[in-house]
Amino acid sequence: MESYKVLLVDDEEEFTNVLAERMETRGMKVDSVLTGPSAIERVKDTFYDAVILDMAMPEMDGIETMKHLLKINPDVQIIFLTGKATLQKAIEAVKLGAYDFMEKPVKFESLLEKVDEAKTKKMELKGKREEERIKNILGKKGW
Amino acid sequence: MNMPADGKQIDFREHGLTFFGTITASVTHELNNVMGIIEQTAGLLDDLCVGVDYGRPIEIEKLREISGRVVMQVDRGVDIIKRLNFFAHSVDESVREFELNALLKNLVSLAQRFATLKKISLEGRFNDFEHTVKTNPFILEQVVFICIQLAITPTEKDSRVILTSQQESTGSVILITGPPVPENDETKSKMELLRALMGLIKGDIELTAEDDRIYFKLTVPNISNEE
Repeated sequence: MESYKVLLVDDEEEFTNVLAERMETRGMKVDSVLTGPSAIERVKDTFYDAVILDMAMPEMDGIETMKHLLKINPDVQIIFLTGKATLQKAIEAVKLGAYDFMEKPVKFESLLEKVDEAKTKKMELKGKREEERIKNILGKKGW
Repeated sequence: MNMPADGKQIDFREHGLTFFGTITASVTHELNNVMGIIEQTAGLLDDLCVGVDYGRPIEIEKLREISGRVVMQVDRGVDIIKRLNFFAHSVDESVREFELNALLKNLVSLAQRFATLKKISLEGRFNDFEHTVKTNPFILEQVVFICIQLAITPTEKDSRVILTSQQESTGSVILITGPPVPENDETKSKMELLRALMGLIKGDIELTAEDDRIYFKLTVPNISNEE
């Protein structure tokens, strides 16, 4: 899974450390932060294929963080990974734009599959946007 | 049921269940985090074993480090379970004799995550003196937890909440101090609930504000049979 770039956002530092270590052994590039505001700063200057986001965090919760991240980069794919999962929260997250919602403890392979799917979706969105941009240019030129 | 001055009934049973659910949900969330770390750490070991299959040797130091990480999480999990178990036993009997500081220390630990999420430091400062009280531990826990909930309101000012206890001639006193509490309907309704709950255990509650801090003073008679 080389060339994948992932941001982990969770106030459980030990969790992000071990998860990052495992992802890096698979060749992924991983950044970790402990709070929503730090995630927002990272997304401003780095393009991630997926952001793995906790729900309950100090300063700013996961939903609020996601809203900011999507404002900065509408293509970024957000996977919620939380120990505080409820069906209601999962529905709310997906309605607001999350790619998926997973519960801790999670099987590592399932998480990698989700990251892979998220990257594919991101590439599709990027492709569509590029196609529309080209169509617009061609339209303006009357071709 | 209880009928306060404004005519609204307080359903103590329902409130008790909500409180029990709030604490259990928070503790199981913390346990999920612990399990999540253990699962990923075990996975890391497995990754290293796969590496051996491909000719990458495992360093003993790395193994020691990983084993230390697992032990640390297991200890954390055991501590969380002990806290929950202590709490669960508070509904065993409606009235019993118990050591007040042990109950308060446990409650401070259980409430820690609620404070952390609001970026507030919650601290229990207890002396070695034993305060044995005879009352309803579950009602007392509800009262102290509501006071903590009110006190952990996020603020730019001094965001420390401190809980202490002392012995006075009228009984055992629990003091909770924190940043100012917002004056709104939620605070009013919680204060009403606090007074009603303290009435059940024949205790007393005082709320004072001084120098941008609020002070809850809860007095629990040393022997207080529930009405």
